[in-house]
Amino acid sequence: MNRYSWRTGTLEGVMIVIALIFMIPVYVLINLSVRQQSDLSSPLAPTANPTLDNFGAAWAQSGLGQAMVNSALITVISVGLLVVLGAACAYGLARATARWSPPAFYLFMIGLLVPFQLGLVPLYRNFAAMGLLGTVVPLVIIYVGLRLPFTLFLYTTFLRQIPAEYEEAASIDGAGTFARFRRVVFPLLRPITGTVIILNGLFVWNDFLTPLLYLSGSVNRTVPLAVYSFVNENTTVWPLVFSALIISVIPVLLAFFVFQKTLIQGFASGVKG
Amino acid sequence: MQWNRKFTIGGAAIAAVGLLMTGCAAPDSGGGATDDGTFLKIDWLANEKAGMDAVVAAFQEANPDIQVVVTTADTAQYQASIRTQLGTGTAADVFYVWPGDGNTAAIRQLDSGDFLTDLSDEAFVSQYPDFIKDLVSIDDKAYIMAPLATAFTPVYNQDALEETGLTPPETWSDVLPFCEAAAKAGKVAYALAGNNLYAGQAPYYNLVADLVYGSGTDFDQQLLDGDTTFPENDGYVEATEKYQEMIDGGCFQPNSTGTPYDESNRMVATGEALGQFLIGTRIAALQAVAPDGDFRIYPFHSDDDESTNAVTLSTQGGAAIYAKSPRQETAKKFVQFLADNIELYQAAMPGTIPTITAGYTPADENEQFLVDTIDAGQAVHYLNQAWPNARIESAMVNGIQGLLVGSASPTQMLESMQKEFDTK
Amino acid sequence: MTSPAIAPATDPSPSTAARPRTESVHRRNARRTGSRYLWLFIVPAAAFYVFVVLIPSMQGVFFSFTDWNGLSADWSFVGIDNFVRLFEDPVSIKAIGNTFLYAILSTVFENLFGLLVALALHSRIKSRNVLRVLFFMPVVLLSVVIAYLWQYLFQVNNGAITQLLHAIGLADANPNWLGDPNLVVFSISVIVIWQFTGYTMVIYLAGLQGVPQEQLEAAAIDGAGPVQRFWYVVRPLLAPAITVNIMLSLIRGFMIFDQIWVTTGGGPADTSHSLSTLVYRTAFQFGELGRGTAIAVVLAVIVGILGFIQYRGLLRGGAK
Repeated sequence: MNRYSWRTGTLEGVMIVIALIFMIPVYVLINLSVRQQSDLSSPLAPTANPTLDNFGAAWAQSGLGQAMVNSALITVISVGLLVVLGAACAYGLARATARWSPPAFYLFMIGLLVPFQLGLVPLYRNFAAMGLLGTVVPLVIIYVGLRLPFTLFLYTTFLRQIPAEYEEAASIDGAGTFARFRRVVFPLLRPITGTVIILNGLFVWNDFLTPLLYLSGSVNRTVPLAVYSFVNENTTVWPLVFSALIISVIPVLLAFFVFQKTLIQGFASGVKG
Repeated sequence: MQWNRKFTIGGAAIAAVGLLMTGCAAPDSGGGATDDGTFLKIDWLANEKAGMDAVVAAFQEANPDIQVVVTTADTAQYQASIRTQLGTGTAADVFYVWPGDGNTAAIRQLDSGDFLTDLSDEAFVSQYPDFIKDLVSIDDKAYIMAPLATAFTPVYNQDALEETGLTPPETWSDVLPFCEAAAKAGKVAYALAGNNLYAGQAPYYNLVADLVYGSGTDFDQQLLDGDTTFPENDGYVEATEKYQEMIDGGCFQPNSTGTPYDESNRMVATGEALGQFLIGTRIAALQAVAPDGDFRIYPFHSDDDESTNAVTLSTQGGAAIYAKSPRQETAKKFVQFLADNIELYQAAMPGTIPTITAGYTPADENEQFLVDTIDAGQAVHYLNQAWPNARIESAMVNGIQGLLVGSASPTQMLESMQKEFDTK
Repeated sequence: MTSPAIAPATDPSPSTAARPRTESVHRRNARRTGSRYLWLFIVPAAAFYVFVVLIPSMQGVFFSFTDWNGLSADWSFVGIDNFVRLFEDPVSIKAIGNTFLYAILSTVFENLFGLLVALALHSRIKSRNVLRVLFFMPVVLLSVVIAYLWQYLFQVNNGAITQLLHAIGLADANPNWLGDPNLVVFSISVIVIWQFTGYTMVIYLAGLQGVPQEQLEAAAIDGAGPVQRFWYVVRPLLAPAITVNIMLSLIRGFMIFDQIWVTTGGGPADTSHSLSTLVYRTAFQFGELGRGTAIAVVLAVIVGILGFIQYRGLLRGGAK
């Protein structure tokens, strides 16, 4: 059973075929990105005279470099805050036995169900009234608030699996609440923290609607905005558009390839709850 | 244990520092809250970016002290964000607005909040043709420096026409025969990018122009006064029925609602289709697919009566000044500069002509056609520029898609438009 | 147990009237958990959440009873007019049906495919790491651009998908993927399913990490076929992953926006709208914020009810 049998070989063959079919859209994406703009042949036919010029042009015209810096900054700060605040909050919620604890938890979970568009405009006006617009600060605040329910959901389900004995041992050693959280609980949360980072990171990196409203009229564009406006400025010039898209996902894909094992293990500990 | 502590503290520190940094960075609010003549922010439409870039470059050269920041968004996103920004005092100093009515960023819909600076005293206003002046004004106060005008017309692939030996129809009685002849030659008469919600309105605008507005624009007031309705107006009924006849007569390719613009452009560029109804600004995209192609506008009329000839030709929009901006003088300086340098803007936007045509020499036959139309007094505003809400246009374009897929009749389409007109 | 007054989460010192009893509860909790400062852990996060989600959403609910246009300073109450209009409008009725269809189709197939792929890649095949990345790849692409890509692939007449149909022998097939009112919802669902199969796959793979090989082997020796092995050995262990995945898929499905907006804009003839696209169109394109938020409220209520049902299922699943 532990050997690579003919069954495994068949499975491998089948899966490779399925993956190839699954990858057809990506093939078209890459195939068109290396194509001359005036080449109107079938999107499935391999490009006759491939060129990398589109990538150069896309990079030069789209402002993706600056956008990547902006997006990276926003993503790192938002996700960092989410991890710290989310883990702390989940700890509080999971360990508190007071009557307010379950209702508080449900109140947070409501956030999973509310469509963001409901509060989109009121929130914008609130920020305006506070004079916080025109920077990326509102974006960071929004992402933290918006993704907290999901983060808490992951953290609390995970925390409830961790026996309180670990902490009790530490408390006998005389550690205070904060020290216990920092030294005992947070390290125990590491596997699920990986999941929290990746899922929230993906969300923030890819989010389109929020920066659209909050950064519209700003020069601080994020990657989705840069790609999107590049698409609009070059409608139907697919080779350029697809080149820009490929450039925009390279960092994320690299990260996934490198971290996939950690990611899956993180998920594993996250969804056992 | 050690590592984890560092990790926690380090993470928190990075987050805190980062937040401070971004807070301090805040570069785009630059220039301060007063007008010291060194800064100007412009929010523009993505598909007119080329024109704006050209003018801004010249403006910067002439005024090296003024830092100009231009941001762009596509139409739907732009309309969504500009209202919120106007309402909260965060809009750019100079921003794109639409003339007349019909969408949420048109001046008549922005009128309620005193958001727009009155430009009536600027020199360019008196140079506008009358119908443009009407569109950019409310109660005789002008609000827009609208640089371009363009039309909805059919555009043909000249080589494909010559290959088939067909002549484009200029009056209604030639239309259906033309479609039949094209089909016989193995061609589609008109490619239609019906997958795009708004593509179907181009043929419709051509059909409505003669039949509703051929003898004047009285219809608009009658509609507003309740003296007529879309389903009761003979012109609208006839135009919509003729659209149905064109669909039934095979003038458009089958399955047109699944065709996006790049496919319809490819069809015309390769000669699979002889032509396509377009707004002038889209000719450039067609030309980009076939740089050597010869794409020409021909007149198209929905009746056989020459005295009612009309063409839907208007301005799409232009620059307004945010009344709450502190930089009024700099903004006015720029807007006047734009008016003085329309030709720079226009040159970057093929398929259009300047709204102020004095001294302008058309670059090609297509532009000549547009100029002739204005000179002949045949220009008619875009339909929705007279409509009091954006839902009517939505009902129209979805109704047209209904005609194309066979789920709506001309009467149903006009009734749904009227329903949206009647609903506050 | 007596029922003491409930102290608000942010208030460490309850009102005088309730003090004696509440304090005793606090002390008891404190003894059990070793801390009375737990609320301090919650407050910072709660502040963000309240400011970003709760308050604006409540403001949104408030505006759903008004005729506010999102722009002017004045507005008036219109009672439940916005909701009445919503349920009288055939377009929004259609959109409600579509929203359910999008959610159900995407949930079923994302999970079915994701699970099958995960099972296959939780094996000894050599290319599993590369294949995992390939299946996950769509998840990291921007929704908006995935939508553009598929709009391109779905072109009628000679789009890539239609060409593939021709290549496998269906020479006459020419489905109007995005232009046929009867097909468009399914075509858009295909996009979503393609995009998120990798997402569910990763969560299932994670769940499978907990399935011991020995157990599977033992079942195989007992003569259980693959289906039985899955049903009796794998499925119970995967229950949490299944619940989480279904919940996430459903929420995503109900909120679907980008894929519709880019490929059809809700067309042809208003047949592909979801509630989210209607919210956007009404609030922003029509400038009718009151009516738009009313649609968002309806969406929130639908998702809320389903979320509640799901969450109870989750609790039950977790209790096992």
